[in-house]
Amino acid sequence: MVTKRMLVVRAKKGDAEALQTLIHEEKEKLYKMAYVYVQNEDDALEVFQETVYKAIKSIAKLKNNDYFSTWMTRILINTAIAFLKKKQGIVPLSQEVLENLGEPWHMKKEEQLDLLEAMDEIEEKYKTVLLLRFYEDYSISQISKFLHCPEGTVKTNIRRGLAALKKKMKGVYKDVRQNSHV
Amino acid sequence: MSDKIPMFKKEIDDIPVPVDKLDDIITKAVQEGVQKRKRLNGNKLLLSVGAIAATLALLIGSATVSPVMANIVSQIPVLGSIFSESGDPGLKRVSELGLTQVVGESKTVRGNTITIDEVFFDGTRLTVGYSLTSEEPLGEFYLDQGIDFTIDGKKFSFGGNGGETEITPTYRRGIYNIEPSGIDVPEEFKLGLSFEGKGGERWKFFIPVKTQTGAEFVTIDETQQAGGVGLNISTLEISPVGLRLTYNTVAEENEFFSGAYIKFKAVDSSGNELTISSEGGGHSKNENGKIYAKGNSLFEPIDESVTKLTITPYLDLSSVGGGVEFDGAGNETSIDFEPNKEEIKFDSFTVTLP
Repeated sequence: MVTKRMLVVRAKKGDAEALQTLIHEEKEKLYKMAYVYVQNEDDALEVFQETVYKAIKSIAKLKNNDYFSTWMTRILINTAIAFLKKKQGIVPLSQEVLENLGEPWHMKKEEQLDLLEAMDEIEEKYKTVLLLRFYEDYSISQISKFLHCPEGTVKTNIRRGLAALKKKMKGVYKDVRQNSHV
Repeated sequence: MSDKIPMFKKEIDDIPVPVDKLDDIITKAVQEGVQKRKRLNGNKLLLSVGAIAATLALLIGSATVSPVMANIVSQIPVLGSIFSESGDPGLKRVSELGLTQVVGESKTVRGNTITIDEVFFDGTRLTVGYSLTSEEPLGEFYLDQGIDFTIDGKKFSFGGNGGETEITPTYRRGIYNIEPSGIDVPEEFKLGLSFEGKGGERWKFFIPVKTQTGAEFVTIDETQQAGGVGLNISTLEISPVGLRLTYNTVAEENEFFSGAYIKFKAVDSSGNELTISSEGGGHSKNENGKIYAKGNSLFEPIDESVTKLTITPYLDLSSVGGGVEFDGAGNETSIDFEPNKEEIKFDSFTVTLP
């Protein structure tokens, strides 16, 4: 039986088939994480595509063959954040668009947001730790290593992230925060 | 822990996934990636017009710096030494002739200092050398977001290559060659460089750059047709950085041909073969069922005694790779590409130098 580790070793040597198999295993998770950041299919596909290209280009540099999944997740998160920054920086709204916006977007705050909408409105640093903690099931220690930041910062950001989510979702996540021992 | 917040996981898991589109992306990326990796090893790059900006980020950090660069053993940063130690004979020469701009501007963000060492623009290729000194060892992807370039504040498309070499765990050097396109580059301009670290740190520089003119152009206009591929070599540019051949190709769109596969051999009147400094950049576009490409190849500088060059265009398919295609049921099929090389053969021609 071919293990994931063996596939990684082959992929690093340029085996396209092994690389393709590895990426297929990760694709749905990566796409969903991208979607949480960018909130629409087209942009999520773009982030996913860029992640895949970066992974292909850099696979030979992957140091620990057991960490392919973590490594891909890291590339995805960096790519998504860079994508958002770039997008925020280069999309000026024309006067016509501004005039036709209709209801100001912040009117939405009066409604109850669902989780994805709420995630879209919280800071990236909170979004990332929440995704890693509650979607990827990483431990505080793993997130600390993943993000190269102290465990205390990770805990603080998870607490603040949950609080921000709760606020956006008008209390739906009250229990979450109480039950999450971060 | 996550079982206490099933909603979080469930809501993300419920995001609909366009599996077919993901599969298409993966198949295409793996095929292209295999080709690109091989092509980059040959230090050549050809980008389609639409893909230049998107592909740019992929080039960052690629291992295309010459082996000589990789073998730099000096532990002491010497300003203005990156070009001369890059292994590129043309860059070494212009650096030694004092034609490059030694910048020496440093900026420190969170204990990490980037110094712009040397800049050179010959009207086609812009080269930037920099160093990064850190208090703590940095991971290999630290500057993986790459560099954002602007000319007089304007963003532009470009093709190119570059990468970093770790000299010590806390000191590395980088060199980037790019060829701007779709922008008229003035003779003097302000080059904007923006580096981004892994944690979102940014180092921004604005460097006044003056184009090094003085190149001599020899019109060649050599046109050949071989196996469905049209090739025109338009000019030879002679400057201290070397000899640059500019060429265009045209081929049927479905021929699985790319202008990036065209290479040149140049032999001087004494029979010495010139070394390629850079396979250069290029751009291609598809129009009316044909693929048009424009590219250039830069050879090492020659001395004045050389009066004639014999140039032989040839097809180099070493960068062409195969791939694997998955059908809807997950079955895989190998895709191999082996065009008929015999059909695509070009003739040698001679260029008299001024």
